[in-house]
Amino acid sequence: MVDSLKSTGDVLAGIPDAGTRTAALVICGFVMAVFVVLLYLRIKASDERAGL
Amino acid sequence: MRWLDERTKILTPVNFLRKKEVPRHKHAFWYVFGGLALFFFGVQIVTGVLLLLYYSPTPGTAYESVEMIVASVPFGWFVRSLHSWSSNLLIAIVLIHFFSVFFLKAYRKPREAMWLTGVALLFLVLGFGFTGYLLPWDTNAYFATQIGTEIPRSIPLMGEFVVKILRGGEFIAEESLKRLFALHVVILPLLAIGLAALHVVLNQVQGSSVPIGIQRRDPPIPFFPNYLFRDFLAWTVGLFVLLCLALLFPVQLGTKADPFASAPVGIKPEWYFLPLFQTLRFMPAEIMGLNSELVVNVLVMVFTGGLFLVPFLDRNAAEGRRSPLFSVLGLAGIAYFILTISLAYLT
Amino acid sequence: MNREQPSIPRRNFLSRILAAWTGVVLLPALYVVFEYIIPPKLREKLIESLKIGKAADVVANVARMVKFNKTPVMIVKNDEGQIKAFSAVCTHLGCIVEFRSADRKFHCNCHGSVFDYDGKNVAGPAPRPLQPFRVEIKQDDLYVSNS
Repeated sequence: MVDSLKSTGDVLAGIPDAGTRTAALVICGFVMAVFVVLLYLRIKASDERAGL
Repeated sequence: MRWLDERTKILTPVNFLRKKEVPRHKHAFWYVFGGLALFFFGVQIVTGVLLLLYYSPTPGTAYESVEMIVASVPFGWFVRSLHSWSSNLLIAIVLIHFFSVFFLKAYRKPREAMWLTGVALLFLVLGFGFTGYLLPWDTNAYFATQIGTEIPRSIPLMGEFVVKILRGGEFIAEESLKRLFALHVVILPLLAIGLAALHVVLNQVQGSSVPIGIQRRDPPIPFFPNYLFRDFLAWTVGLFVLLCLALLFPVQLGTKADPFASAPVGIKPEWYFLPLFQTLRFMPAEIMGLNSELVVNVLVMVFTGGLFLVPFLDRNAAEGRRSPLFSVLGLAGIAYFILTISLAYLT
Repeated sequence: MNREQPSIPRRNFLSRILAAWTGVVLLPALYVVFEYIIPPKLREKLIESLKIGKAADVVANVARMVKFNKTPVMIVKNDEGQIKAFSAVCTHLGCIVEFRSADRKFHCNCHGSVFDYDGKNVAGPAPRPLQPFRVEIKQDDLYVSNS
């Protein structure tokens, strides 16, 4: 049975280090940026069609 | 599509949606927060179902199951962080949406039903935050729930009953955990999904409100696909904010709750309950001979009732006139909110 | 106002690129969900030998169930005083068997498999004998371990 005093340490053992998480965030940021650009272009195309 | 329509008449609502338009004006930006709230609610459902695969709702296993999720389940820490941060973002977005609707007087006729469902959803979302908080069964969760469920005791006539119903008994114990788990996972979601569906349908049927005295720009934005893609853009930004929080500040787990230990120093509820918490701290033990908790409870009930009745109380807005009194009340509300939260963190 | 409308293929092209990018991004997201829902292998401390109690306390023709790691194990003693231990899990489809003192056999109520006192499958659909466990008596204490 896990000792509750040591639980925080055990929990941290499952969480990757800050470097890995930051790298994951950078990749996610790139993915989101591509989405934003594609959506922006799509909105512009639709707005032109609607006369906005 | 024709095959599907012959059997389900799906094209009837789809064609109706195709015609929906969103008004353009200088405050139209605020419309996006409603959809954003729906997005974060969806995130909560998905991550919540995933957590449900491993979570165990008894005092002997709750903490250990959350620990296992974080320490042993692949990406468990990530799913848990997403769920926790998304709950905070959902409440923040719902509050922004609430205040934007309030200040833009979008509650006025004929949108009273949208206001009623929206205020009910606001309280449901706070209820989600309260019930979910106990589930890890760590020290903060235990004592926060102990305090939170004690507050209604001073409600006249039914206080003791309310406390017993919430806790499943006199004290926070296994029955409390089961009860709050059932609320969090079944009862509140059913209510929220029903009310949210009604709220969205009303919005589709009645369209978005234009603030009093504000000039519309023509042409309006077609909902499909123009406004829908704007919604997707907002959701992408919202998702990125959520990922930043979940990846940079992964949620930790405190020590397991010990009902016989004393409450830790500096214990506080989550930020969205701090106004109530700080108000209770302000109050002296007695006000005009009455128990201060009783006074606060009555004030909260009056405030909640008043909130539901806003569209019917604001006669100026109902008749299409500007309503500065209610705007001032709204600003006072925001100021009180910010003041109490700041004081709670600083003192 | 006469605006030149973008050609329809550009809107469709952008929609297709968006859909494709969403599909590409969904793959790692689905991978995360897939990895998450597969139950993790938890590091457990497995015992190799379990002390049951006094050998003299085992009653003849009455089975006693103990938990050996995650396996239910049945301890039985015959009239001659011979103590045996078997996994109580039927080798057919995993139901827990019961020991009937009337015929001194292990019976599975799910599909009618029968195992004799040596754990051998003698009737019904069970394909293999019950898994035996080693029984040792050290200074009157009864120990069960993996065979």
